[in-house]
Amino acid sequence: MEEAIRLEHVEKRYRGFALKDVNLTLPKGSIMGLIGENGAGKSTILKAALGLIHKDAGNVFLFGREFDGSDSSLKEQIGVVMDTLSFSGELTLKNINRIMKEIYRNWEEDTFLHYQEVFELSGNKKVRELSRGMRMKLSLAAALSHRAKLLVLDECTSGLDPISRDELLDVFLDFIQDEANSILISSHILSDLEKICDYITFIHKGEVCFSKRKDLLLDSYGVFHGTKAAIREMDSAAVIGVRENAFGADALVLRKRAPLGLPLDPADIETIMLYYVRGGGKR
Amino acid sequence: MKGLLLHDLFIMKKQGKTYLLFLLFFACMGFVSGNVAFFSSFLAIYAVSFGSSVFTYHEQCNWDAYANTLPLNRKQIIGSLYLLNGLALLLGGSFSLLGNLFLVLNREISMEEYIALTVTIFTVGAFMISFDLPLFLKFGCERGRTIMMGSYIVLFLAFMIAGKFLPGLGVSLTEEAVYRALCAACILALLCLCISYRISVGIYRKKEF
Amino acid sequence: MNITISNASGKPIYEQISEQIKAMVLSGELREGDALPSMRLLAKELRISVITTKRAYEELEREGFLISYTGKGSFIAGQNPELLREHKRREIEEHLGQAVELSRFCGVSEEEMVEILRMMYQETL
Repeated sequence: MEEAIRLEHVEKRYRGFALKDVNLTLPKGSIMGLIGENGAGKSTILKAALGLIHKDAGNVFLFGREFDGSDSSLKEQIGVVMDTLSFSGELTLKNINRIMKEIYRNWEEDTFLHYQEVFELSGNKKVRELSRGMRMKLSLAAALSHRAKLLVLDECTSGLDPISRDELLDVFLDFIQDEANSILISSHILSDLEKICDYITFIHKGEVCFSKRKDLLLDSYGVFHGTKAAIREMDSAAVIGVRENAFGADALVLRKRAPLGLPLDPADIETIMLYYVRGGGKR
Repeated sequence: MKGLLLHDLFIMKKQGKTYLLFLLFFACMGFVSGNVAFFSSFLAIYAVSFGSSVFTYHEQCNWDAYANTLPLNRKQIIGSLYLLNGLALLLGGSFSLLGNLFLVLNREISMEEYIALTVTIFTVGAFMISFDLPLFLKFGCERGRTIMMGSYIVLFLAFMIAGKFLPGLGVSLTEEAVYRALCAACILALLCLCISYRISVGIYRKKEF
Repeated sequence: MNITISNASGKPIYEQISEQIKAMVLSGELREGDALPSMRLLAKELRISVITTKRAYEELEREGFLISYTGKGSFIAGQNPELLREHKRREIEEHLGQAVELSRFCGVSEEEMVEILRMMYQETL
């Protein structure tokens, strides 16, 4: 089985918001970034994947086995970092180590101590004395110390300074050195994801706009700068989104459908996302 | 479950010290004033509120969401809550036991009174746990606490009224009747705990984090 | 082994990698049998996606520059002298093409060009 996690036709309805027909597959050994504006549904998808909320429809498969949040043997293999605290302010790192030793079958105290050192966290400090960045690193250390095969990270780099974020990215890349390990990370800090992700899934208003290999994604789109008229003349199937201004217009264009030889700027992930959201993007 | 218990004990450590001080205080007050019933009941109430305050800590750091991503099942999570509360009650009850023991030895209260008091504390405590935990799980800390307080007031009033009216009804309590009532109360308390546990697991199963 | 990538170059990153490795093979810096870093290690060090390094290696393998063995890694393949010649020839044509264009621009005739070429060969001898 080559997939770390697979979501099939997952749906969840709330008042005022719904996840519709969410499908995504994370191949083993890769990093997938979940992007989208605030409130798009990224956290909801992760919670549905982890079984923290009850789905209205669809299935979640972890390492090929169906998962609804109750299978403890599968949960042994996942490490989760949520965007909230997770550890009470009263706990010290030593406490956490002792607690996790009882909870995880494969808890590795040495690994946890190693990350403590790498992240420069003191064993006797209470969680409430740690900065947000250090708390995230602590949660990550816990997630990495029980031989997890899948890391699920929900907005864990937001609120961190660029230096801490850079350190975390190094840790992720290290984790991936083992081909059996995979990472599913949601973030709205695209520069992080752009660097290291293999796959990008873009969520908008509860739907998956696209879920593609990052290199193919960046190769497929280009940005055209020109006149409104020129854009109107183009094949509508080629134009994904348009942003007009007083002096002209820009359009996100599918390279293979665009007229040959049209000068196009390369598009980065942020640009693609902006055109989908603010440029009236279609799927 | 050991891990969960450790977790809760670690986070309640600071509060635990306050708890012990209060237990000591109540026990001494009961001993000094001779009004054992009053202070012993305070012990029971305080024991249960200690166990319930763990919910506040859980909610503050969204522990439930995280705990459900760990290799634990919901029964274990609920079980550890009941265990924690049970231990708190045991501790509180023991203080009362010891404090009142002195009174028995000093012949200020009879052995029967002592046993009746002890059993009452534990059974009332058990009833309160059975009532409170599903409430907290269903409604969360804030609303749960309000409902809990309301129920205690109602209970207190009921006891007061019963205390006023029962003697007037001419119900004489023979030793055997009291003994039987206490046994029944014990069994009922355990039953309530079991039912409460099942209800709590059911509530927790439907919960979303 | 030095590999440098630039986000601003306009050329896809996988292409930058494969060209630099090709250049090293052609210059002799990398020889037959030399082990290349694993795709994952390269991705980690350059801080790019594994898929990119994989694509670079796959292209190099397709063109015969390296061989990958699952479980062992990737190694420089024995060089086909024909292939090498072909690459060098293309490079020469590219340079000459530039010279021809320049000659047309400033009016240097074909005969003059041949003369210059002959003189250059004589000098190196």
